[in-house]
Amino acid sequence: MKLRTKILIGYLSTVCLCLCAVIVIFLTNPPHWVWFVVLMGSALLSCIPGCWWINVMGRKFHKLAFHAERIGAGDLRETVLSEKTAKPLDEMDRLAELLEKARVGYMRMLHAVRTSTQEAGSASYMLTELAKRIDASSREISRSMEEMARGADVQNELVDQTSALIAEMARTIERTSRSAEDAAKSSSEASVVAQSGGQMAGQAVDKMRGVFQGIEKYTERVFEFGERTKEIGAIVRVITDVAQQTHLLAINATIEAARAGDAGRGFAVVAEEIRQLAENTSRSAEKIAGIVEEITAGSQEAVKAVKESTRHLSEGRDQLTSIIEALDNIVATVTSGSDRVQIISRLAKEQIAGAKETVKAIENISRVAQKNAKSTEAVSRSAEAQAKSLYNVTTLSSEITELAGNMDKEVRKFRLDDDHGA
Amino acid sequence: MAHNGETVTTTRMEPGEFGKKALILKVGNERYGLLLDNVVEVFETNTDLMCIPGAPAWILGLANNHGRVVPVVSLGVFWELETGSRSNHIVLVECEDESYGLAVDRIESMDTVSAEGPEVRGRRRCWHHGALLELIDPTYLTKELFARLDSEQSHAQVDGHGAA
Repeated sequence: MKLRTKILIGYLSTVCLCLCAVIVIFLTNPPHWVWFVVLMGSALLSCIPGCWWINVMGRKFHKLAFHAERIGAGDLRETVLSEKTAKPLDEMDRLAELLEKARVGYMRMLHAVRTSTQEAGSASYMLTELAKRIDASSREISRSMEEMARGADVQNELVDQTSALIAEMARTIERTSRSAEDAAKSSSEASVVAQSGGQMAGQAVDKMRGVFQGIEKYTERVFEFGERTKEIGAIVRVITDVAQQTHLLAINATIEAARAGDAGRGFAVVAEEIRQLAENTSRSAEKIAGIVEEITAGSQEAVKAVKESTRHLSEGRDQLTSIIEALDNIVATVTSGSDRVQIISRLAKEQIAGAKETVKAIENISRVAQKNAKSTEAVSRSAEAQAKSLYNVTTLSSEITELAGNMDKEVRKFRLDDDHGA
Repeated sequence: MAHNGETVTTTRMEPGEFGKKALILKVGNERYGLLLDNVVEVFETNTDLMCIPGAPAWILGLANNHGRVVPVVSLGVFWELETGSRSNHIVLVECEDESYGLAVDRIESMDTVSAEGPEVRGRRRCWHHGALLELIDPTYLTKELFARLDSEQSHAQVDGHGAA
C-alpha cells in the first residue's frame, strides 16, 4: 500500500470516527461531558493507528536516515534492505530499495573508481618512470645529436678539406699526366735518337773493324818488314865480315908487298885498292847496319805503337761495343719507359676522371652531410621539444599520480563490503 | 926475349923520311902509326886467348896463328891508357927473332906517312890526314916490352925470396 493511501485511510478513518461521534451526539444529545468523552475517545481511537503507523514510519525513516548517514559517511558495507522489507510495500521501502540500489551502484562505482585509481596510479607511476627513461633516452639522444651535429660540422670541414685535397690531387695528377705525356714524347724522341745512335755506333764499329783489319794487315806488314830488315842486317853483317876479312887480307897483302920491296909494288897498289874497296864496303856496310838498326828500331817502335794503337782501338772497340749495348739497353729501357709513361698517362687520366667522380661524390657527401646536419639540428630541436613535452608529461604524470593517490585516498575513505576491520 | 936495360939501340927514323908504310892503329883515344918494317901480318883470333899464369897484366895470353903460338900484348894496358872494346885483330910483330902479337882497339888503315920531328923513346910525331899521330918504332917497342918483362920478373923473384 502506498503511503498517501495509508495517510488517506488514516485521515478518512479519523474523519469517519469523528463524524460518527458527532452523529451519535447529535442523535442522542448526551451531556457535554459525554460529548467530551466521545469526542476524546474517538480522537484517541483515531490516534491509535496513526501513532502505530507513525511509529512504523518513524522506524523506517530512522533506518533510512541511518543508512543514508552511513552512506553519506562513506560506509557502504551494510545493505539497506532488511529481510522484513525484502518485499517493497510502500514508498519508504521503495526509497530503501533505491537507496540500496544507489549504495550498490555507488559501491560498484567506487570499486571501479578504486581499481581505476590504482590502475591509473600504477599506470601514472609507470608513465612517470617511462617518461623518466624516455627523458634520459631523449637526453642521450640529444647529447648524441649534439655530438652528431659537432661530428657533422667536423665531417663537413673534413669533407671540405678532402674535397680541396682531392681537387688539388686532381690538379697534381693532371700536371703529372701532362708531364707524363711530355715524358712519353721525350722518351719516344730519345728512343728514336738512341736507335739512330745505335745504328751509327754499329756503323762506326763496322768501320772500326775495317780499320782493325787494316791495322792488323799493317802490323803484319811491319812485322814482315822488321823480319826482312833483320835479314838485311844479317846480310850486312856477312858483308861486313867479308869486308873486314878482305880488309885484313888487303892489309896482309900490302904488308907482304911492302916486304917484297920493289917487286911487290904493283901488288901493293892492287892490295891497297882492295883494302880501300874493303874499307868502303865496310863503311857502307856499317852505314847500312846503322840504317838497318834505325829501321829495326823504327819498325819496332812502329810495331809497338801499332800494338799500343791496336790495344787502344781494341779497348775503343770494346767500349764502342759496350756503348752499342748500352744504347740498345737505353733503347729498350726508353721504349719500356715510354710504354710505362703512356700507361702512367692513361692511369693519370683515369685517376683524374676518378678524382672528378670522387669530388662529385664528396660534394654529394657534403650536401648529404649538410642535410644531415640540418636534420640533426631539427632532430635536436625535436628532441628538445620532446624533452619539454616529456617534462610536461612527467609533471602531468606526477600530478596524475598525485591525483590518483589523492583519489585513492578519498576513495579509501569509503568503506566497502570487502573492507574489514577499520 | 933479351933484356938490354936502359941502353936500347933502335933503327932511327929520320926527319922528313918519305915512303914509309905504317899501320894506323887506335889504342884508347890515341891514334898510332906502326911501321911495317917488323910487322909480319895481321890475323884474327876467333877464339879466346890462352891465359899464362903469373904473367903481367899487359900480356893477355897466347894466340894460335896458323899453328904457331905467340904471346899477345895489350898496348893499352902496357901504356896504361883508357882502352875501349878490344878488336879481335892481332898485329903480329917479328923483331930480333922474337914474335909477339899486339892487341889494339882498332886497325884503322895502312898508309904512307911522313915522319916529322925528332924521335923520342922510339916515338916520333907525324901528320896523317891533317891530324897528328905518334909513329912507333917496333924495334924500340920490342926492347921496351922485354925490358919491362925482365924488370917485373926480377921484382917477382925478389918478392918471392923475401916471402920465403
